[in-house]
Amino acid sequence: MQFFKTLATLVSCISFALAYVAQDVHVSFPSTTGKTSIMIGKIEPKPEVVGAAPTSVTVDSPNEVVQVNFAIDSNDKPFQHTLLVGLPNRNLEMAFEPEIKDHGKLSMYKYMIDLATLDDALLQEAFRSLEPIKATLILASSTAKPKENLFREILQLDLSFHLDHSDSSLVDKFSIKPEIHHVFQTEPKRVAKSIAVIFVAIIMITILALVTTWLNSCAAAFNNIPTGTNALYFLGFIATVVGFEIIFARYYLGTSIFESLFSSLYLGAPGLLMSTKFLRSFGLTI
Amino acid sequence: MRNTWSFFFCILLQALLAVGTQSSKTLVLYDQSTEPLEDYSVYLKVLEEKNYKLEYLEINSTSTAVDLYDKEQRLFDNIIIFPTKGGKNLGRQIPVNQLIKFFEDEGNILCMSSPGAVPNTIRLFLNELGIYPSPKGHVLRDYFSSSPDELVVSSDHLLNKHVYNAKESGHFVFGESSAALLENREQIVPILNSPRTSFTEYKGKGNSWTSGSQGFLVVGFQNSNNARLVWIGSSDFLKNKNQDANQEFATELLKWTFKEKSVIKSVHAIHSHADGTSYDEEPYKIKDKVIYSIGFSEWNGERWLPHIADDIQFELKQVDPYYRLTLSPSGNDSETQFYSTGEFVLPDRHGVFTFLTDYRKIGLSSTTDKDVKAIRHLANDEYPRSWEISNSWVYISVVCGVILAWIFFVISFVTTSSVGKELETFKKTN
Repeated sequence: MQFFKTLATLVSCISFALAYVAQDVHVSFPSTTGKTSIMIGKIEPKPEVVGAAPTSVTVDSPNEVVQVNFAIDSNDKPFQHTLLVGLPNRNLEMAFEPEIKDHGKLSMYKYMIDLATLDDALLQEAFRSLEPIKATLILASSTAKPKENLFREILQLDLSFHLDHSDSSLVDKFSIKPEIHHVFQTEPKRVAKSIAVIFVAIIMITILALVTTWLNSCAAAFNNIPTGTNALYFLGFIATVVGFEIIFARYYLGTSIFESLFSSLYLGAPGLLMSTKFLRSFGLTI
Repeated sequence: MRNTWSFFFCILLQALLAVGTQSSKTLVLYDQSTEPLEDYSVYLKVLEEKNYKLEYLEINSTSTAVDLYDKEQRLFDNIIIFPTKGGKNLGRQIPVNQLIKFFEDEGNILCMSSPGAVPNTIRLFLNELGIYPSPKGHVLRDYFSSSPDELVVSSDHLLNKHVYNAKESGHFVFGESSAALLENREQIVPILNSPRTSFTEYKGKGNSWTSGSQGFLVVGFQNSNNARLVWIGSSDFLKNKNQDANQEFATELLKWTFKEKSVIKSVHAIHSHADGTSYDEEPYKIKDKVIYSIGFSEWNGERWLPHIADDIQFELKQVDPYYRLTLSPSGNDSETQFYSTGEFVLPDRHGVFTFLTDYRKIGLSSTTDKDVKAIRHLANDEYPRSWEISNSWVYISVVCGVILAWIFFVISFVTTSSVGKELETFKKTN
């Protein structure tokens, strides 16, 4: 029993020794002066602390360059060495390849993530979903066992600059579009009805005052009412005046111009005759 | 006379028989030396059982051009192209432009390739559609896969529920596979993408074509005529030996390709005044209240069923939309789900407008329903009259007052005599 325990420990130690480990992982910002580098440390296939959150980096500019560096034992270089940058939950990821320099026993890996070169769809979706962009490191070879290969999220990029993300067509061309409702021209302003009624009342009172003044000053005494034949002509004359006013009012209310002209003709001919007769015979007494 | 009637009945009988036994004619192109047809017998048998009329044609150096058309009549409904080596043979039998014409004429295509067999005809045809399969020799690798000898992909990588909606999580076996890069085209239907840890390898060089989830193992394409194409990056996917893992997905994939599922139709698109009066009875004018409704059905392979969705949008447009409204369910029957805009007011702009429902979703067949109608301006007598406008009440009351005062003045003037009246004068006395 003790032998098997020892053997198992030995095997796990050997497999750990073979596993890909990125040493001295650190993030720098070559495009931004004064921004300090961030040391992440050693990255192994299995995290030292289960559930530990990856390092978070705030990106202040759409043109910022984020540089990820680490070292690997030169004798144990992986065949696959990719840094995936994007939103894995939304299948939007870009692959970055490293620049590799050998220094003795160590190989230095350098990834340059230029924010300006990230795909528009990725940036749009990151802003829309308010998710940080994640950087995942893959170090693997066919000769290693799957569990010895490294596949770890090492970095989160929090975007703190502004980007217009209203265009959803980059991600889903057939997504539901924002509704449009026609904006109607504003109705012309109208005076309040109560104000209009006050003015109408003032006008009516003014006209009543005028008529009352005529009556009180004996300007309208009605002391010369025609009699006999003149009474007939008088009625015709008044009917003509009232009739023309009615024709005018009906035209205003919608009667056609032709109908109004015909009505005027029918009223005008006898009206002219009656009015002339009346004014000639009765005018001397006015 | 009797001969004429006999001839007529013969024609009628033939027509009836033709309708009754209508089947999809499918051309199967294969290269026995590359992938023996027997390896795919399960799925071919499934198609035959579904009344597909399969016509097999082997591609080899002695084969001649295939006639896809009789004059302008398309001879086949579908084409299945298995992996072939020797691209010139396939190119000689079906040139790229023939495939494009066939696809444009609503013919469906299912094609497969593998890292060892990517004929130029297929590659160029797919390139025209914005699908770029990895060239010959580029193999998809995944060092994190539990089975190193063959590519196994989880059903979590399925991307379109209209093609296949896996009820349970599972794995699909792809064997040795190619992967494709895709253009950002709205007709492309990504169906299955490769694992995040995968990449293509070519002669010892990594990331030679695709990397991570941006490589695609199964891709669909649906053109504007609703013809469908599916490309599978592995010749092993449909093989009998992998049917345990792949059968359900493969069967659904075949159904989708040959339009047995995810086919939508729009019916009964109508619009009218809000009170139900039709346009013919009373043409629209600006600011009329109208209502628009439309029904949608979905073909499930056997019959039409109501299509339930919450993303169908209606547009009222001239050049640009004046309205874009998301339709709400308004009723259904056994075949159709109806949707309505509810009441809305026509714009205060006259002209010729299009009542449009253009429903396009990745994986579903597209439907477009449009009706062009004129919306007239108001006639002279349809504007508000002056007495309806409060501002005019002052002027109208003045006019009425002047008329009444004028009549009163005329009557009083002629009935009041000034004759004989003398003004009283006062003599000034000192």
